[in-house]
Amino acid sequence: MDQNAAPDAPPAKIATQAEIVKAIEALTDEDSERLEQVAINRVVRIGRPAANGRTHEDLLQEALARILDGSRNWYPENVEFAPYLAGVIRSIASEWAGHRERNADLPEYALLESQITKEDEEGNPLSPFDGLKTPEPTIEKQMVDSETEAEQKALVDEIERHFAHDENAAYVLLGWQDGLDGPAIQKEFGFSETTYRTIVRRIRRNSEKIMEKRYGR
Amino acid sequence: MVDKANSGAERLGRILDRLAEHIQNAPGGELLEDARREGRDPGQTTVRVKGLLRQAVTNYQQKQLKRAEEEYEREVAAMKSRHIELPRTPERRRSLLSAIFSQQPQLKAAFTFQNRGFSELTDQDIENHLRKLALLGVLDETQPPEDDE
Repeated sequence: MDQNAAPDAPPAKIATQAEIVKAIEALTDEDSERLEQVAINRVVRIGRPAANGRTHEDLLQEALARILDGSRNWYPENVEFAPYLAGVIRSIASEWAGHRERNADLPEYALLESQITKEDEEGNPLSPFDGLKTPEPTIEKQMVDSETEAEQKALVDEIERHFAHDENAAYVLLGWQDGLDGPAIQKEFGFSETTYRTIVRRIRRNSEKIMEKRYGR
Repeated sequence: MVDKANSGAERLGRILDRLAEHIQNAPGGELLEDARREGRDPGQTTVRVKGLLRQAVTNYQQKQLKRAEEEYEREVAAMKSRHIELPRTPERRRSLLSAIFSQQPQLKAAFTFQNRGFSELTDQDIENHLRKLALLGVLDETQPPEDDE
């Protein structure tokens, strides 16, 4: 046996409720700004139907609730609280999006569907529950999907229009939409890293304003 | 390699994913500077975010409390609904508890007598202890005193 072998490190401990509360109180202005921006970004990303009436504030609270109830484990020794919470926010938003995709027919998603469902071709009122037994995509789902598509297309078009006269930003937006990452865009358009970061900052700031105008803060 | 986004949702998704990466990695000072430039007060954002998180803690604690209360009520109801057959007279009940403690002396420590001797226990204390022991199934394992009814 190797006498010099380092002893096994003790396993990291999951945060207690008191540690979580202390971490909340210790959040800085930078942490709060970043967390709120991440939550807004993710709620807009998944779209209104998946959010199902829930806001970025609900997303923040849900993320914390998951850490408190132990369905997500925060190990304070391994990662700081704010980045960990941001990770949980992203993960829950994906979960909401996936849940709606897999369970679009559930009554809990009927609220939004009822907002767009008015009447059938013959003028009879349509219930959002009408399609529950149908395995095929329902009319309601198709309407919600097309409404989401229209809404998200309008938003992305508005962002593009905003940068129509900012050539560099327009290139970056185009690159992102074509699936390119930062280094690939820098190479493609000959941007230095600093230039790229400055452009992205400009896009973020202005996109935030556009989203805020549409979704509030 | 170019992988063109086809739908509006996909185009927006890709832009927002890149922006999310940027938000995650941008220097904090830069975020605050931009917030101020947009007329937002970062201090107010912190107050709002912390308020939301504190509210989530309160909601969680209230849920925990409610669950504990429901559990307690279930246990009380279970105790009430269970019929416990105890000796009829105080003397016989005292004798039964004494028999339990002599057969299972380790239980004596669990039922602390708060510096009181066994003889100082009131009849009510005895009955309460026996009921608790009955719920724990101890009475079923105890040989009753020979003079029991």
